[in-house]
This record gives sequence, C-alpha cells and structure tokens, in this order.
Amino acid sequence: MERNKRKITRRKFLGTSLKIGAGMAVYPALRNLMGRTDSPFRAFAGTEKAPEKKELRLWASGTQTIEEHWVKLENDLGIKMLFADNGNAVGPVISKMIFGDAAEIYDVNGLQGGAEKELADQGAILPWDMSLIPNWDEDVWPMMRNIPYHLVNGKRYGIPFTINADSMIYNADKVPVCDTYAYVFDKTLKGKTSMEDYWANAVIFTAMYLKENNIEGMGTIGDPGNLMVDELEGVMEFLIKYKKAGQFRTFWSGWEQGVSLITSGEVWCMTGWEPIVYAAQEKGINAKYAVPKEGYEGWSNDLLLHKGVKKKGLYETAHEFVNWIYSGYFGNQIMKMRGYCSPTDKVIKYAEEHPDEFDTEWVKGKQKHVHDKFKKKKGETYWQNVRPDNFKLYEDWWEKLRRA
Amino acid sequence: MKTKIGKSKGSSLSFLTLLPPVLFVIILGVLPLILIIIWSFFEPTEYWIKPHLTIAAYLKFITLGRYITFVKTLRVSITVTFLALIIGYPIAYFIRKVVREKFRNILLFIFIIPFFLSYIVRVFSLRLILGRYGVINNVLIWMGLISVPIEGLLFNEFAVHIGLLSSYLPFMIFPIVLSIERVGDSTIEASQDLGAPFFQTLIRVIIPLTKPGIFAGCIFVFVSSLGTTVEWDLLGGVSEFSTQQMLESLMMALKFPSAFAISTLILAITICALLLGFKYAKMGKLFETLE
Repeated sequence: MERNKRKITRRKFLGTSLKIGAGMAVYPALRNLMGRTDSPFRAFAGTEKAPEKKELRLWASGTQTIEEHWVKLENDLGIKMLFADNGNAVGPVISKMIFGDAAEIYDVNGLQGGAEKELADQGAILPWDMSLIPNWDEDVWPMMRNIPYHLVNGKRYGIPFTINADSMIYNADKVPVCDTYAYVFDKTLKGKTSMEDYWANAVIFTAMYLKENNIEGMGTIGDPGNLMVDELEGVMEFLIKYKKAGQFRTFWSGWEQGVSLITSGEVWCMTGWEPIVYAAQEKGINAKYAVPKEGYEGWSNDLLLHKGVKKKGLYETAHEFVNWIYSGYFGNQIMKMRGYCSPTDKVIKYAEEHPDEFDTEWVKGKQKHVHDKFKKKKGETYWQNVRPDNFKLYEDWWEKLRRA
Repeated sequence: MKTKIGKSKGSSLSFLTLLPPVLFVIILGVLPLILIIIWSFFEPTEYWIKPHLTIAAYLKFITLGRYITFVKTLRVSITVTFLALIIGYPIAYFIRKVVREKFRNILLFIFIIPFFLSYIVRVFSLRLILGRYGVINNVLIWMGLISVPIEGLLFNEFAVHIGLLSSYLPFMIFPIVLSIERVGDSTIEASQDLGAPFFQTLIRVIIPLTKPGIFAGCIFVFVSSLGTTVEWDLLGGVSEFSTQQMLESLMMALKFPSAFAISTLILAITICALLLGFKYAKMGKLFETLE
C-alpha cells in the first residue's frame, strides 16, 4: 500500500513538473505574441509595479564606479544607477555594441577613448546634446574640448569621464635623471626596462620618442596615437629590434605587476601609470615619475550615449547624469577612491564648499598636478587611441612582436 | 511479465533522472565544442563571422607563423608533463608505500595546501624566489658562490617550466597515488620472493600496474599546461608567448575564426591524448572500485 502511494505520488510529481515546465516554456512566447517585452516571470513574483525612479544603466570599466556613493545621484536627481563592468576590453565591447544588443540594454558607456568614430558610423551611439549639459562650461579644462577623437563630423560623441597623462616610472637610486623616453631604450639599462603589454600604450610611447627625437627618420610621424601603415611598420620594427636585443625585462600588465617590477628591483625604468610611483614610495623605493621632454601620453575614459536611450525614454536622463558627473561631487569621490581626475574646476569648487566631505587641499593639489601635465610645459600631449584607423594592423604587429 | 513491467518503469524513471544532467552536458559541454569546430571554417566579418565555408583561418595559422607559438606551447607542455612524471612518481610511491599511514595524509595535505591560495598569488610568489633579488640569488650571493645576481632565473622559458611544474605537480601525484594503492603489498612481495630486485619489480610489476594513474596524471598535467596563461604572463617575460595568450589576443582583436581554428587543433590533440589513454593505458580502470 505504502509502495503504491509512493508510485502515485511520483507519477503525479513528474506529471505536474512536466506541466509546470511546459507552462514556463510557453508563457514567455505567449507574452511575446501579445507584445509584452518586460521580464516574463515578473508576474510570478506578485503584482507588477511601474518603476518609481528612473534607472540608468552605465556600462563602464570597473575602475570608474563610485560604488555605494552612486546613492548621491539618486538623492540629487532621482536616478538609480545600475552599474555593470564592461571589462574595459575595447574590441569585445565594440562587437557587443554593434553586433549584439549592448547598445540597447545599457544606456551610457564608459570606454577608453578612440572608439567614437567607429561606434558613431555604425549607429551604435548618439551625439550628446551639449545644451542639455550646462556644467560643460568654462570650468571644464580647455584642452579637454579638443581631444581629437571626441568629435565625429563636427558632433560631440565623447565626453571625458576621467582623464590623466602618463609617462615613465623610474627608480631614482638607479637612474638619477630620467627626462626622456630614451632611457627605456638605453643600452646601459639593457634588461632593466619595461613597457606595458598593450599596443595602445607601448606603440604610442615609442612613436613619441622616435618622432620628437627624429630617430631613424621618424620625425615625420603625424599623430603618434594614430599611425599610418608605414609609420606603424617603422615603429614596430624598432620595437622588435630592441626586444630581440634583450632591452626589456618583461612587458607588464595590471597594477600588481607594475608595482612589483619597480619595488623588486627587476625594472629600473618603465612606461606606466603614476599611481605606481606612490605605491612604490610607500614601500620605501625612491621612485619618481618622469617629466619627459617628448611629452605625455594623455588618455581619457569617455562617456558615450547608447542608441537605445531614445526608445527607452532616457535621452534626457542620460544628459542629466552627465551634467551631474560634471557638477564636482563625482570628481572628488573618484579621486578619493581611485586617484582618477575629472577635468573640471568644479571639483575644487565642490571640495571648497564641502570641506567636511573632502580634504580640500589634497583635492586641489591633485587636480592641479594633473592639470599642469596638459600645460605644454615641455612637450606635447599625445592622446592614446584604442581604435586607431589601422587598429587591425596594430594587432597583427603586436602579435608579431610577442612572437619575435 | 510483472518483472518486465517493473524493469520498464524502472528504466524510464532512470532515463528521466538521467535526462537533465545529460542535457546539461550536451548543451553546455558538447554543443559549444561542436560550434567552435564549425565556426572555425566560417568567414570573418568586421565584428563576427558569416556562414561561408573556408579554410582561411587554418591557412593563416601557417602563413602568419602562429604555428610557431602553438608548437612551442606543445613542446613546453610535453616537457613539463615528462618532468612532472619523473618527479611525481617517486613522490607518489613514497607517500603510498613507504610512509606510515598516519603521516600519509599529512604529506598529501601538504600538496593540497597551495590550492587554498589564489592561483595568481601562488605563481606570483615564484618571482620572489627566482627574481634578480630573489631568494635563490640572495642565498647564492650570501654563500659566496656568485657575486652578481643570475638574471636567467626569471622571465624566460626556464621560469615558465618551474611555474608550470609547481602548479601542476600535484595533478600528477594524486592519480598515481590512487593507482599505486591498487598494487597490493603481496604482489610486490611475491615479485621480490621470486628473486626480483626492487628496480626490476618496479619496471616489470609496479609501473605496468600503475599505467592508468600515470596516464591520467600525464593528461591532467599536459592539458592544464596547454590551457594556462598565468605562468607565461607572470614568469615568461617578453620572449615567452603561449597559445592561450595568442588566443586571448585574437579574441580581443575579434579574429574569431582564427581563434576557433586554434581551439579546434587543441581540442583534437586533447581528444587524441584521451583516446590513447583509454585504449593503451586502460585509464578507465582508475575509476573502478577497489576489490
């Protein structure tokens, strides 16, 4: 009897499971036929409610989020931030934007500068309406208005999210003076120098060095951030020659590796990010950041407006968000959390108005330091471009260099 | 008749019970591999691929010299597997047949401990040992054996070998320990009673009986070495570039068919190795229960 009961229960259970399974499979399809596009299983959770607050989906590099502090955006404007990390992998991001549905799912992108033209040409991003961003005013650093790839056909597609300018980190106990990229290629430092394991960085630094010093007839290079085919060939052949000769100890990638190479004494001079200097100094290394005569490599992580915002009715919301980014709070918070710089004087003004929230003098010092890098003190600032015209060739050459 | 009905109900219930995991394996395991093979013959577009059959990706593998990286990674993986076997077998034998039972688990635990650490941190820590001012150089200088640090310990193929060995040696030891466990002490004693010295017993009795474990260990180490990037990234330096690093670089550059073609070749090599293992080393025996 017991046995029979169990059998019936099992059969019933299987039957019911199949019915539920079939129902779950058919239900979304029926909803689609009825023109419903929201989550099909939302109704199971209870009564559907219209969202009370506007939600904005920001798809950006994980280092650009201010995490729990986005609540300030919600308190100020009623915009709830839904942040997703795009991995800062430019190729896959572009592919998902154009071929996939990322341009519809997310509303605003935060991507390394250079992809604007390609995304705009493919219709994946929209131009910003600058009249809806009143904080894009005289407080914004003038040089930020002229970053070459931000404008496409006269329209602004890229707005700097965070910016900085990079050069070289060096151990001043080993290399007393380091005021030119020539040290990276100096034969007396053979096996003690390094560059970042990414063509967008290594190639531009090498091109800047060759151009500014007219080495091997490369003084004719136009834009080190966007090399022509023959310019690229010359730069890469130069790099391959030095790599084969054992000039570089290694190519580095990631924060930990960068810090470790300098602090362990493996590398005495390398191109890289300024925060590595501070981390090395904290570990007792006499590390310094170079002011090279050839200039800095400027970079900007850009805010891009996805095409999907119009359909979702978030066009104005996205502009409100960017206007809020330029109001000063974000600049203070991102600098405090990550050491990144927002290129507007409103950052300092906000810190002055809110001394209880931020260390005004510290913020002033940091902002001024970055600002001064872009003042043509010694050399030019050349902008890093993650999607130069010949980027596929760049990839091919980089692969060739790694195999050489 | 009654039995037949019972069997029929039992088998349909077994079928229904097995269906979800089988579907899971097919959809998430086998299907992606089949798609990778098919897509490797597709034509690349600007951002993805289109179904136009071509062997261009395989031709590029040859003409653009990608095979050099592929062959080098294979060579390093084979060398590491061989070294792991040479080092791992005596350790496994020692753990299973020499050490007393109460210390056996402690020794096995020692080999497991590194797996509690982050994989990257574990490999990264080797830099502190092999580096210019690392432990080895400092000890050698302190002992007066060298006056300037040896540069060649880090950022080269040697360092990659050390990294791979330290990461995957336990993968060789554990299956061999399992297979040695199946060789009864009486078998070894019988061989010795018949006058065979230990070395002869090892070659003619123990090793043939532990072939499944040896092959399983070799497969684990070989496949893991073939599929990793961390050791190459952190210890290899500028001159060392592995197939997996090349794959990552190709995926970032959206060169999908080329990446799929190389993955297909890796898959083919792995499947061949597994088939050889099951056919000639009776690897399946490793998973049979002990009598």
